[in-house]
Amino acid sequence: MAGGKVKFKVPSKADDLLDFYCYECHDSGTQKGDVRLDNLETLGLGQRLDLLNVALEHVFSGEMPPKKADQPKQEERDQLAQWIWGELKIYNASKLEDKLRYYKYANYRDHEKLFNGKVTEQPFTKARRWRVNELIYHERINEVFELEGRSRRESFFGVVKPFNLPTDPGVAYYDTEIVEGGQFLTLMSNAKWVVEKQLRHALVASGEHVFSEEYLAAKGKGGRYFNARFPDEKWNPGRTAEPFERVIQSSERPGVEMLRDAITQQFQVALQREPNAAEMEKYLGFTNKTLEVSDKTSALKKMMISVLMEPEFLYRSEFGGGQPDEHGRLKLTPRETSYAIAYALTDRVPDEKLVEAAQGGKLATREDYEREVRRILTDDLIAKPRVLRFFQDYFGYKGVYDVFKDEERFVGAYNPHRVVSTRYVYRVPGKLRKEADTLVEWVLKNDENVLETLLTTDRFFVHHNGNNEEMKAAAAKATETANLRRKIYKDTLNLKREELSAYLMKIKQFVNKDGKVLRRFSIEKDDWQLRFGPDGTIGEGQGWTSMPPDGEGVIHSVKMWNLDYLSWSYEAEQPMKVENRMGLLSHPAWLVANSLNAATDPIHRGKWVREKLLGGFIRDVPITVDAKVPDDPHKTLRERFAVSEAKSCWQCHEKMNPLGYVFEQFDDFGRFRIKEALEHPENVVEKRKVRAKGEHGVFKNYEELVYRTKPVNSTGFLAGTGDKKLDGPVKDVRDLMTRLSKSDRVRQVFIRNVFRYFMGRNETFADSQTLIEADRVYVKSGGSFRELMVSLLTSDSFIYRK
Amino acid sequence: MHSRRNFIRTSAAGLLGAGGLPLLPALGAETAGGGTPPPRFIFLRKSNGTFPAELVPPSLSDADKKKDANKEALDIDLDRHELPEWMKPIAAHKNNLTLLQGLSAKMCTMGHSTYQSPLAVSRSAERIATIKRASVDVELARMFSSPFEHVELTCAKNEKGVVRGMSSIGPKQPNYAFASPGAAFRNLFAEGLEKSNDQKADETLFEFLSSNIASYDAKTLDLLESQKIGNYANSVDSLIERNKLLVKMGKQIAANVPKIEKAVLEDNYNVVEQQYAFVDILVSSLRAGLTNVVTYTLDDLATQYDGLLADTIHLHEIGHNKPLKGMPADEVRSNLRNHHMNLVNKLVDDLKATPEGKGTMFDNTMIMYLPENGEAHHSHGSEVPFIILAGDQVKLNMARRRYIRLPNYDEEGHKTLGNWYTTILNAYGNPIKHYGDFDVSLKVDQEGPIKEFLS
Repeated sequence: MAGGKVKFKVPSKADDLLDFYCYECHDSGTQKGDVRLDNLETLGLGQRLDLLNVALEHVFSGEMPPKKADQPKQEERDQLAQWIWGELKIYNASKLEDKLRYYKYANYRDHEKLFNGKVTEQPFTKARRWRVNELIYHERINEVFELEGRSRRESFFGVVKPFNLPTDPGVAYYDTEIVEGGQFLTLMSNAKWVVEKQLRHALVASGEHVFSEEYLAAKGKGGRYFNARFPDEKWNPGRTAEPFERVIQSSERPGVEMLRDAITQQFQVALQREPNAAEMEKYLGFTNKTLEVSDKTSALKKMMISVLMEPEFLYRSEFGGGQPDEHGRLKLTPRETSYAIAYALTDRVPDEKLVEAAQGGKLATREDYEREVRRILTDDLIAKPRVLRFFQDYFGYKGVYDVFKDEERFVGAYNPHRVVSTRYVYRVPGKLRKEADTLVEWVLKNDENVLETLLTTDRFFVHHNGNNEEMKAAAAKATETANLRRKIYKDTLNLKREELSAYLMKIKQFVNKDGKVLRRFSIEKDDWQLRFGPDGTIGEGQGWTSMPPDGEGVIHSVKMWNLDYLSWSYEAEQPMKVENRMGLLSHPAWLVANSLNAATDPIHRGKWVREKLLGGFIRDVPITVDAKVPDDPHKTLRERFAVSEAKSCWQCHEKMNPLGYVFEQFDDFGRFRIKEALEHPENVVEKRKVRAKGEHGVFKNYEELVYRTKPVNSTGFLAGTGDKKLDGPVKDVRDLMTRLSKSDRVRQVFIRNVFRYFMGRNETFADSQTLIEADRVYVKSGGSFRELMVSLLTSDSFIYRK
Repeated sequence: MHSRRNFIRTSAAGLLGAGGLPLLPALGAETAGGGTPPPRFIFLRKSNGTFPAELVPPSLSDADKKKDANKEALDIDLDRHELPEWMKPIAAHKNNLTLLQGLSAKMCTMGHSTYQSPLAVSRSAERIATIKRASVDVELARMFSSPFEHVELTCAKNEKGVVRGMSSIGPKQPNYAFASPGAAFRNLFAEGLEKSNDQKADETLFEFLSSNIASYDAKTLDLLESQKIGNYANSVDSLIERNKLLVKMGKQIAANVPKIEKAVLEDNYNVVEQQYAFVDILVSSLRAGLTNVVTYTLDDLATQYDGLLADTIHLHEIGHNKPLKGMPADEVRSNLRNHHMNLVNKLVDDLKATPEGKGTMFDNTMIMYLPENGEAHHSHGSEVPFIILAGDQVKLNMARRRYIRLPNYDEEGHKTLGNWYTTILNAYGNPIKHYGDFDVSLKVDQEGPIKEFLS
């Protein structure tokens, strides 16, 4: 195309549509939003393309014309969008395609069109390479070392995570990521480390592994700091694979057979397959060439590193094979299928049965897919972390880790002081996340009306791991210990020093070898006084149950559930009913994840509901906006947010505030409230001395500030369900959740998100039939998430590539 | 012939700029020895904001202090003034010092984490698609070629190895950064160290990876897919070409290998040890001619600072004014800044101790210490205070020993981060009209350089 030399002209059909639907607000006279569309033909190329890109985004997403104006028919909207798209494509200038690949813009696609059944195109996924994520990459390293069961490692000292998953709520793992230059260097150094470890056993035996003097001296002495000083020595594989060992042990230049075995071995552990003839030839040539310039060990290492740097190790390949069907689609090959199914549900390479099925020609039909998916889903011995992870990503409650809370405000230990791991529970945020996980797992176990239950349940797990038997036993033990402490406390309340010693002699844990009472007793007694009250009667009585310890020293975290850890008689049988809560969006983990450091966050809470449940979207904050909430010690946060109700702000804030305000029933720690504390120095009405567990789980003194309060206004407005019976004023979270759970649109938006998660991409209109079928299956099965997964993982969108 | 393989490489480069690692520059006459020494630029990024008031010399008159507090323009000779207490470590370099206040950056992402934003003068987020252009440090590096073009070092997040950087090499392309001194040392100075058989074999490894990637071309489907393989291919190619160049520079590199403690090279260090090791690596890489531009992130909000005070400092908590074991957050901040100045002082001392041409390496060097997120922990980009140390040959007419406060936001003469970077680029021969995005809410003219600073 000859660039800008062709005279641009708006075709008459497009001009008619623009005239009818757009010019009224965007002509020379009105220019609403500083946008003018009637002079496209006079603009320079750059300006025109910029404007067309903006127009396309608005037309495609349905944002324009505004809802109050006359709306074009779907065909008209499509025509206009196609014309603009065509114009932009001439100059390869369209930005929308790129955006539509990202989760953030997934809701741009018209919901009605996806579900109205009018799309006839057969579903498929574009042939692709899908970069492995940090978790898959890590498990692949475990496979290289052939580690199984408890031997599999959660981290490797010399392996730096090359890829980090995004932390924003939503679907995190998409097929859009590429191996970047910096990651390439990381991957290289990881590969070198892995190969050193693979060969370590043999190199030590051959004397090629040289230990530093410092290491040898320290090893001779041993000592508790040895591992800290030599962290890379904490773990070494117990053996070197025999084909590699033979190369290292050979006294002569290794022969072809020996090298073939070594190459095959590395392919097996890294790529789970043997090299084909061409690959073998290529790798043999490379290894022999390296042997010319170095030695056998170096040549072996380079060959092994190369295999670990194969794009196949870093990307999942999904190209399809065989003959195309009448729609031009290729089915995934059996091997690709085995990986696609394995990685849909787990982070590990296909298990033996999947490999067997792929090799035995039993991964060809939809029934074959279904058989394998159901097998994995029903096999309790196969860990399926991907299932829970969907809910963590979608609801975004893992974001609880990222919100720093002031411990003085919380009055007790709160923040994690270590790097957050994917597997461990840390402090209050970690505990909350685990409690939310447990709730999701419980709902998934029942597998009925999964979304609806998650939105409306009034049952939760509080200070509980989901195992009632275990928690009952732990609570019984804790109660026994507490009762003993109470008895000691009460028995010793009025004892004189000499009587005390005599008493404690019977309780040896508080007496040293000289028969003197340990200081520890007096410290614990102080805490017992707090725990049981000055006269020892708090929580006393038949049936009172003590909270089991949580290993994190944050038993006070139950106050986020409006429970007092001192007086609460623990309920070991859970989930338990919690007053004033409804659904996961009233769970402290979600509320804190969607809060600011020292305030609630109605904007982001509302945004979440708008985007994740109602399928809407909110544009990025315009760069002209300096989004500051004015300080006013006499107003609630909601009152101060009145600034966002200005006309220029309300266009976007209307979509968020009325939904987010409803959650003002909860403070920024997730505690239910009917009054909002006006946290400002001039509003302090009392300073309380409080003793609570601080860092390291040890009791310390805090000063709790009590502020003046104002009543909370948590009313809001629901719009966008597409159901007039559900839309309208909302009085509280219970009301909002009840209505949302009844909405077809909310359910379908959920289905769209599950689709994105398992396909690793945004839905297109070609996926319409897959989505409609998945929705049908979900409804018919009574809201079974398992059946929903089976439907999606056996759909054309999953099976076919084009 | 336009082979398939070439297609994926060039198409990815077209989309992404050079792709992955910087492509191989020709060795400039400057770095080959002799001739005019190249200019050097060092960007020191720090987190948690720099409060503008922290830069104000305590001995300013009450009237000037008032003006400063009101954000009125000032241009004061530092000769007659004391530096703030925390800047004492660089007092000996006052002749080279400029304190520059009043640059706004509302066109950037502000707040806690700003990613590539403050060096690329545009909004950017974690998603790499938001990166709009090559950052100013990379643009400068490209003007004065060197084997590594631009080197980035980081103490962010206590990460190790090689990680994603906070500079960018083109649209949608983050730079990479060395996060541990060991990784930087082994990558930058390998050619100056005795080569083992294993290192010799690396050459064949890269060649093999390069040829092997070609076999993947057949399955290249569209631009996005070509990008996935093309980026990989470019990364390998650039490594090979760079290695050839480094071989030619072997002696020069060997003569400038930094002395880093073994434990540090083995990743056993606290943050302070890491920071000093990076200073040594930074200076040595300039001396060896490996690069002319270095961006060094001293910390970010996730850095757990050990080795400075009795307890580990959690910068985020300090940003929220949480005391550190009884020490008020302000005092911790002051300690941190003072520590940063010790690092800057070492950097300047080392460069001044390096003879070059008729003077020292520092003569041609410009060091800029800037907060990644402007004027506060929760910033809005109203100001990005800069501490600048510039040698005598630096081509900017902003007389040293100055405290400069530019006119306030939206007042006549107000300047943005974009104006500032345009000034530097123009001064060194890049004729760009304006670098970076505009602040659309700013009504005063904001295009072009700060003319007063140009010679």
